[in-house]
Amino acid sequence: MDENTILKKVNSIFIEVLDDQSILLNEYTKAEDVEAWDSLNHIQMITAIEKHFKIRFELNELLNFTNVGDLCRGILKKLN
Amino acid sequence: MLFNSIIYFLFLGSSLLLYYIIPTKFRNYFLLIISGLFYMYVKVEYIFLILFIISINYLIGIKIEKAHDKKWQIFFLYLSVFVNVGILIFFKYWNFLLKNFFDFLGLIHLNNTDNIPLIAEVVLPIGLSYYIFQTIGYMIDIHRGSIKAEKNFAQFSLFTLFFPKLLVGPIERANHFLPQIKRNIHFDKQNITEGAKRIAWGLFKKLVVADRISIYHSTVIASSESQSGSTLLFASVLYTFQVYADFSGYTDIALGTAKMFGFDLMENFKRPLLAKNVSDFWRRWHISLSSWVNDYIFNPIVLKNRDWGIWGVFYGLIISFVVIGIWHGAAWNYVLFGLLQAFAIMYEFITRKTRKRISKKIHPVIYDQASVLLTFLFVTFSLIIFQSGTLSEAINIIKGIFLNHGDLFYDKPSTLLFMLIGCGIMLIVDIQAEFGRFKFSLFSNKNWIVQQVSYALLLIYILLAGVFDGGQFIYFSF
Repeated sequence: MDENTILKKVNSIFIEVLDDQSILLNEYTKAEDVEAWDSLNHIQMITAIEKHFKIRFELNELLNFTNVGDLCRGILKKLN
Repeated sequence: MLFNSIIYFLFLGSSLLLYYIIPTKFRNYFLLIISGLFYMYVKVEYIFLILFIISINYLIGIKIEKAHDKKWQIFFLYLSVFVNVGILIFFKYWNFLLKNFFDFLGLIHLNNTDNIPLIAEVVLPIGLSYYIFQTIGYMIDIHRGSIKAEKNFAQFSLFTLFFPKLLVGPIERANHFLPQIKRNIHFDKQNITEGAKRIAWGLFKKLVVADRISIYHSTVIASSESQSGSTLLFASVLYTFQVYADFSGYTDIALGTAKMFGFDLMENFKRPLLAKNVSDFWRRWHISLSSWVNDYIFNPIVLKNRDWGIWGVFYGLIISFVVIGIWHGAAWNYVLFGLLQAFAIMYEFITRKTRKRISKKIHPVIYDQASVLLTFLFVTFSLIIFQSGTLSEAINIIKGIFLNHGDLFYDKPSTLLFMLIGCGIMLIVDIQAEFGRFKFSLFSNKNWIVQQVSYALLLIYILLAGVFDGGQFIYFSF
């Protein structure tokens, strides 16, 4: 699986969790760029992502993600 | 030294003049010296406390970074948190903790605190809660690897001591502030004019809005038992404006001052009175504190306990808002204030899908305006508890609002008029910044003359309607 495929899947998880069809992520997207992406919804998305990809992030990894690109690279690293 | 005093502006003017006269390479040292003098003007002894805090954290910060072993890194991080929180507890919470401890044990009747053993006669050093939180954030950032420890002692000291943010924040982040210290700052006319305009706004909010409401509000609250419900409700609504004007006014003066020296401090407010729900309110109110709690308390707790599902979120919310509550002071009303915010956000979290469905059936303008109004009323209600010395005082005010019938109290119509005009101007400026509703703007007009005349009129209005009794800022006591 490459980063682009992961980004597409992450995008669909965001759409589902945030209930907003208009979300279009790129690797530079940050929380402040997506209206409903607050810290409460963030937890739901991380849980959904971990469940979908069957991975488990360390707390420090999660705290150091600054944008969608970091998150996708984090997923890729776990999958490999 | 109060930001709304003549002496402050003499200090600011002379400091600025010297700052831009001396060679660039000495400017940070100069800022450090005047910041130290500024703090000593408040109380000379506290300079030793802050120098101790700076020195120990400077050393521990480097230790955290240099420790190769993860265990040592955590040890030094905990050591730093222990020292910083320990100092804060001693100065701010020690007597409160002792009082409640003995009260809990039922050993001593506490009408007189002199009876309590180990009680400390200390006064909270101004700014302590702000710079301690800033320092803890710095340590956690080093531990997480998101910043490097600052090796230059003078620059690290300036990070804590920089006088515009020293007493009442904003609680800065190292990755935002430290890079600014490392630049060579040159004189820029735009920084001076932008800073001066921001200060003018801050003075307007403080002197015309906050201090004018304060006269009315304190009169009403001092005799709350004999006041009518309409008066108590009106005073409570005005208090929301007062706290906002007071604190954001202070922040404007702090940010304006920093701008004049070539520094950009964090924004602390983003039109909070236009928030559509309580979660939204906390993203707009005292942002440097709420984002601090979000990054260093809420997120780690909730992410660590994400298997708990919704209960992990509730747990994180309660801890975070109790911290925000008691950050304001050692009293139960602040704890309750924090808990109220946590419960409101929990409710919003549970009902978010239902509310979204409802919103689709109602005209968006009506839904949004009703949401803003409800949020405002909730904030006003929680601020009644926030401002009350005791819980019974808060209950009396709330009971009075619903049960005491009678007319609205005001000593003369001009009192009402000045307060309402002040609140109105503040709201219009916020609405314009949020939605850009009005096609003609005064303060950001592209025409230079219109803009200058607007600021001149603002200054005249401050002189006419301002309260010049050197009223202290509410957030000084936190």
